[in-house]
Amino acid sequence: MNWTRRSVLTATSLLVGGARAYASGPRVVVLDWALTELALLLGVTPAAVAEAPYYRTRVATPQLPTAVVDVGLRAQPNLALIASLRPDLIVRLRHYGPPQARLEAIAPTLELAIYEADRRPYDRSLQALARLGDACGAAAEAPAVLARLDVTLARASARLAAHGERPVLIANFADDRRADVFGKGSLFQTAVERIGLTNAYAGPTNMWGFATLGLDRLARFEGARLVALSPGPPVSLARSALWRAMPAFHDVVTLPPVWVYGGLASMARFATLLADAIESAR
Amino acid sequence: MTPRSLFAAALFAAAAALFAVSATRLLPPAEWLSALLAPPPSDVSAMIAHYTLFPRVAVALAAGAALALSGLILQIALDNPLAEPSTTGVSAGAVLALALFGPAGLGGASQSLVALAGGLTAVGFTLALASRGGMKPATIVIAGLVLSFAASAATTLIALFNHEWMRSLFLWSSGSLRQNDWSATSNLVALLAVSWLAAAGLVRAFTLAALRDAGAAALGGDPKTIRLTGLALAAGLAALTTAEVGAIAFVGLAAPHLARAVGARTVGARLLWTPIYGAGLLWLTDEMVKLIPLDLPTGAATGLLGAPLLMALAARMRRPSLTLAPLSAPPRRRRPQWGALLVAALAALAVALVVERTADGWTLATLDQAFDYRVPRSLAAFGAGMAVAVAGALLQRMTGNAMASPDMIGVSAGAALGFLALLYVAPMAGAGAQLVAGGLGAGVAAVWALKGVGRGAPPEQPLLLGVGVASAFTGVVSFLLASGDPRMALAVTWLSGSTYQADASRALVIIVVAAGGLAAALALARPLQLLPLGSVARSSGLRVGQAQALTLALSSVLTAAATLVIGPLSFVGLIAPHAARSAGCRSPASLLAGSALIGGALLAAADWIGRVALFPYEVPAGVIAMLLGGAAALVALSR
Repeated sequence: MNWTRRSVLTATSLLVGGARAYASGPRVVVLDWALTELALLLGVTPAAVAEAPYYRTRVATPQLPTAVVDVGLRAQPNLALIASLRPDLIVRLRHYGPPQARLEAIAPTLELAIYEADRRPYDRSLQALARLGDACGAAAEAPAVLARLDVTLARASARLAAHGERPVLIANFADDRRADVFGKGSLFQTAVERIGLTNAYAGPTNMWGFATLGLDRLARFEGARLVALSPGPPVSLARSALWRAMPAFHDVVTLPPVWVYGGLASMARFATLLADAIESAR
Repeated sequence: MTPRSLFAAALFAAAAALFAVSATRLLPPAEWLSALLAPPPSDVSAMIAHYTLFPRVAVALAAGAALALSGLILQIALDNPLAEPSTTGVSAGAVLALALFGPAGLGGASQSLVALAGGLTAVGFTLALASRGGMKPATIVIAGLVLSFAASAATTLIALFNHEWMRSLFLWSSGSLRQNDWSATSNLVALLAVSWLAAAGLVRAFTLAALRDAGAAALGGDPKTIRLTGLALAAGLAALTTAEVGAIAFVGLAAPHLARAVGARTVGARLLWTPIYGAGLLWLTDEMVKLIPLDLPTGAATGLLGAPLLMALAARMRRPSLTLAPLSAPPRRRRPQWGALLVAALAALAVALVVERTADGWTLATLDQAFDYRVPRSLAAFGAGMAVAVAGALLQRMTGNAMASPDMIGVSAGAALGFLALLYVAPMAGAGAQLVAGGLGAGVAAVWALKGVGRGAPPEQPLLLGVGVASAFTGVVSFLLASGDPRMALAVTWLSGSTYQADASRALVIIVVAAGGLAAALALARPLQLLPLGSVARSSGLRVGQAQALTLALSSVLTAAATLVIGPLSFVGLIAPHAARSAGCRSPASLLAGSALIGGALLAAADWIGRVALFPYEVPAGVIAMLLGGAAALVALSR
C-alpha cells in the first residue's frame, strides 16, 4: 500500500487529490499527453510517456514523476524501446502516433478518442477517463476525479460571478497577423461555459476546436475581452498602428502556458488561470 | 493591342474584379479612397481596410513582380529554364534562420531581418561554392539545391521536436501576404524600383548571356562577370522578397515562361513583361485565395493554381525554347572505384544490422526481435536508397540535366499527395490503404509525365510537368502544416523519408523492386549513352521516343515504390548519381551500378544514425541523409 501526497503547487494539482498510486499495478505506456493527464488524475503513474521531458515543461500539471521513462516522439515513439519495457498496456490517442496494429504486436493497446469530428471533447474525455480507469484497475478513482474537477470549476465560477464579465475571445496568436481562436470542439469552450462566461466566437472550428482568423476578423469582436494564451500577442503587433486603433484589443489578458490539445487537467488549469487573469485585470 | 498587353490587361482586370467583390464586403466603394488615404481612427472598417486590405494588394503586386524578375534573371544567367528564386538556396536558408533564431511570434521587422540574414547567408554560400567551380551554371544549380536540401533537413530536425510551437514558422514558410501595416509595401516597392532599373541597365549583358558562354565571349562579354552580376541581383531580390512575404513558390518560375509564351521574345521585352505578369499572377492568386473561407496561405495557393498553368506551358513547349545545362562534374579519377564503393556499402549495412542502442546503452544486436524492427528497416532503407538513386541516374542521363531528380517527374509528389489525402480524409486507414492511395497518386503522375513522350515531345517536358505536380504538392503540404493540425507531426517525419513504417514485407518488396529495377536499367545502358546527344541519337538508329518512354516508366516505378515504403527521398536520387560520377563512374552502366551502391549505403547509414543518435527519439533517415550527404556534397563542391 503506497499513498502519495502531492504538494499543491498550482490549483490544478488539487485535481490529483490523494489518489492511490498504483506502483504495483499494470505497467502502462502512454503515448499522448492528454491521456497522460487522465492517467495521472486517476493516480496511475505511467511506466513510460512519449516526450516525457517536454510534457514537464509544456503541460506542466499534473506533475510527471522523474522516474517515468521517455519513449521518444509522440508521433513516432520508439517501438523497440516500448517492447523492451514489456508493458501490460499501451494507451494511445486516436488519429495520432503509430498504427494500432504495430502496438498490438507489443502489448494490448487501448485506443482512446478525445478530439473528433463530432467536437464533443468533454464527453469523450469522461468516457476516456472511465475506460482508462477500467483498464488500469483504477475505475474507483474516476468519480473522485470528477468531483474534484467540479469543485475547481465551481471555485473559478464563484470568483467571476460578481464581475458580470463580458464574453471572452480565446486566442492563441500564431504570428503577428493571425490567431487560432477556440470554440466548439475545444475543452476551453466547456471550461468557459462551466465557469459562467460566454465565448464570443461561435463560428466554425476544426476537429481540434479552433479556427484561424486574421486580424481583420479578430477586430470585429468588439465588446469581447481578448484572452491570449502564452506567449500572448507578439510585441510587433501590440506596437502596430492597427492594434492601437482597435479598442477591442486594448485590455487583452495573457494566460501562462496551457496545453491546447490537452485533457481534463488542462481544462481545469485553463479555468483557474482564466479566473485569476480576469480578477487581477480589474 | 498586342497579345501580351491584352493578356496582362485580362490578368489585372480579373484580379481587380475579385478585389472589388471582397472589398465591398468590408466597405462601400464610395469610402475606399478615404480609407486608403486617411482613415478616420474611429471607423473600424476603414482602419482594417487601410492597414490590411490595401497593403495586401500592394504587397502582392510588388512581391509578384520582384519574384518574377528574380526568376527571369536566374533563368537567363544560369541558362536553365527550371531555375527559380529558391534555386539559390534563399528560401531554405531563410526558413532555417527563422527556425533557429525566430521563436514563435517574433513577427514584424525583426522576423524579416532574421529571414533576410538567413537567405543572404545561403546565397553567399552558394555563390562562394560556385565561384570555386568557375561559376559554371550546373555548379551553381547543384550548390543551391544541395544547400537548400541540407538547410531544410536541419529545419525538419528542429520541427520534429517543436511541431506545435512552429505555427508561425510553418505559416511564414507557406507564404502569406497578410499585412498589418505598410512597411512591407514600402520596402518591396523601393527594392523593385531599384532592381528593375538595374536590370534595364543590364539588358545588353543579359542578351549576351542568352547566347551561351561561347557566343557571349565571342561578342566581347565576360560570361563569368555577367553571370555573377545577374546572380547577385536575382538572389538579392529573392532574399528581400522572401524576408517580407515568406516562401512563395512558382511565380518566379512560371512568369518568365508565361511572358515568353505570349510573345515576349527579346531579352529586353522579357525583362519588361515578366515582372508585369508576375505581379498580375500573384495578385490574381491572392484575390482568389481571399474568396476561400479557409485560411489558405497564398504561397500554398500559388503552388496549387500554378501547377495546371505550368503543365499547359509545358505542353506548348517546343524544343528550342528549353536549353539545359549540361552535366559538368569532371571526373577526378579514370576508373570507377568499385572496391571502395562495395566496402562502403557492405560496412554501412553491417553496422546498421549489428550495432544497436537500447535503454541500457550500446550493444551488439541479438536475434531477439531483430525481424520486428532493425532488419526490415535497414533493408528497406538500403533498397529505397538504391531505387531512387537508379531513378535519379536514369533521369539525369536521359535529360542531360544535372537538376533532374526523381521528384522532378512528379511521381514521388503524386504518391505523397495520395498518402496525405488519405491521412486527411481517413486517418484510420491501414497500411494497405496507404499503399493503394500512394500507388494511385504515383500512377496518375507517371501516366501524366509519360503522356507526351512517346509522341516525340522533348525529354524535358516531363520534368516541367513534374515540377508542376511537385509545386501542387508543396502547396498542399504547406497548407496542411500551417493548419495547426497536430496529426501533421506524422506528415513531417514521413515527408522527409522515414523507415518507421517499414516491416518485413515492405522491406522485401522494395529490395526486389530495386534489384529488378537496376537490372532493367542496365539493359537500357546503350540507349542512355545516346539519348543526351539529341539528333545524333536519332541518326544512329535509336527509337528515341520509345527509349525515353521506357526510361521514364522505369524511373517512375522505382520512385513510386521507394516513396510508398519510406516517403519522398528526392535528395538521395539527386546526389547519388553525382557522387557516383566523382567516384569515376562515367559510362551509363557504371553510373547506374555506382549510384545504386551509393544510394543504398547512404540511406542505410542514415537510417541507422537516425535511430541511434538521439535515442529514444528517432530522426527520419531522409533528414540524416540530407544532412550527411549535403555536407559531403558541399565539401566536394568546395574543392
